Amino acid sequence: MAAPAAPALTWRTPLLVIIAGCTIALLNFGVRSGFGLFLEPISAANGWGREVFAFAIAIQTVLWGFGQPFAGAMADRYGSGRVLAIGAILYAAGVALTAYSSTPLMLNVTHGVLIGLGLAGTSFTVALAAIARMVPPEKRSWALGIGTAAGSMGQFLMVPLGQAFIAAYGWAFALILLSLFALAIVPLASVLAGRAPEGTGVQQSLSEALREAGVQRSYWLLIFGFFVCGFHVSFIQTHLPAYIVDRGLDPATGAWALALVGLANVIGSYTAGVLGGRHSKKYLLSFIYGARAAVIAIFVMLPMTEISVLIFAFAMGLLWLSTVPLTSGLVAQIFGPRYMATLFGIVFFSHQVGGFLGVWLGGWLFDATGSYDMVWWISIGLGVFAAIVHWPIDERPLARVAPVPA
Amino acid sequence: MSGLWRAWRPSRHEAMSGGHRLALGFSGAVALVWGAVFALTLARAELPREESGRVVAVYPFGWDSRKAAAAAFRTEARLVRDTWLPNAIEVISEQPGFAGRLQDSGAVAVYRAEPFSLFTLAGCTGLPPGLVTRSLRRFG
Repeated sequence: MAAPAAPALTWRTPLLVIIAGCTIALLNFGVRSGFGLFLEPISAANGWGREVFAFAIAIQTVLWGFGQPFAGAMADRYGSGRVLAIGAILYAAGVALTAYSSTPLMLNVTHGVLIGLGLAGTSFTVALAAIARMVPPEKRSWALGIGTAAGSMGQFLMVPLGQAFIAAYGWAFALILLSLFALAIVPLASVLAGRAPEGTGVQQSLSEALREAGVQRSYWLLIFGFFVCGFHVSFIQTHLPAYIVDRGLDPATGAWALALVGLANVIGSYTAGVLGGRHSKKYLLSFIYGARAAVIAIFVMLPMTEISVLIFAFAMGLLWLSTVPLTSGLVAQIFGPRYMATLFGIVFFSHQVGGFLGVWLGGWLFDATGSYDMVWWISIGLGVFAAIVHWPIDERPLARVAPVPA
Repeated sequence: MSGLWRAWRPSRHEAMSGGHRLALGFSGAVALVWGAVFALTLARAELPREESGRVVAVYPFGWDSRKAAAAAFRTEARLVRDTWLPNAIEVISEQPGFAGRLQDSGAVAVYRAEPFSLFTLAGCTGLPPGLVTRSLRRFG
């Protein structure tokens, strides 16, 4: 299959690596998912309009997205542990210093720049690549699945905890507490220290790896496909509650729907990882995107009730980040784990671009047409498109990566 | 832990069931830690009886929104909004001792209401709706 994983590295056993990687994914995703809770209190405390906080988040998002391929490249070159540790320090500093940001410029630096860079350094791409290269190939898909599920669990658990922190200690101290969660990534990063093994095949530099991937049609198909994933999840997470309210249902139904998406997402991510170890990853991805298109079409065409919303939320949750272990697994499978952080970082950047478009286009088309209908149908079309583009992916390891016959 | 480690051995079937045990163990451990921190934080967040203002009153599990509202309105409470939990309601009063009177009406806990809108939660990209679209600003 792919290039061999790292040999057992003293105390860094696969078990420890997976637990540390999962915890990092949980903390990275979890802390960030609660930032929306601070919009109102920070804006009110400083007498700002919402656009000040929103602009800082926008800076954060751009740096997070753009930073991931670079963080991945640094992890591939200097080791995941260092990048994760530095990222965690930036992340924690940004979260803590947000509490002391009394001007928009300071907020842009702390909540925007520092957290954005910190998120990139501690992102999925770095953590999953570190996991992938340290576990045996036959366990890789499962390990990526549990890593993704842990990140999903973080999203699900940290929002209510962040809200409770604010209620108990006030928003400023809540930020300090959340920064400690981010700081906890530093010791965990030492478990993921080290670079990927060179493998048994032809050695290559980072630029050679990028050139090699750039001429592979399968790599581009993965990039296009993951763009759709970002579009779907961001559009639905952001606009679903508004869509539900527009159809006459209670906002509480929207809240329950998002919670159900989060819960089912944990199950779906893990299951996808397990299935990816047994079946063709590209066909599973085709199925997931096709199923998303079908689920959205049924949801949009049927009359909306509370039950239909919750069924839709659960079904979409199962299909939510289940694409991550399969997409990252395919990158490792085709190109080997050596430069996985860089190559998956680029693929993930495409996801973030899709996510931006999903949120922005959803709002823009609503403002232009007065309904979300067109965006839903675009989502269905994109789902079908993604299902089709994954089908012809050649998921065999490149000759350079394939094991040398004994 | 040693059980988990033993489960890491090679046989494909055993290894995968060991993997499931690891996943379950990890989830359980996270849930335990989270539950403990959450419970402690909620206990710390409870308002003393003499407090007043805009609060969330939580009534016993199993109460529906109508029963919770009826109980709250036995005090001088004015409704702010329902919450997404049927047994919790957001109400307001400026008279001292409001939290205590809500507890006397059956509330198991009273918390300070935090300004929070579902529509400010960021999506997967972390983009706040308010920046990019007017469609969500109508929710305040």
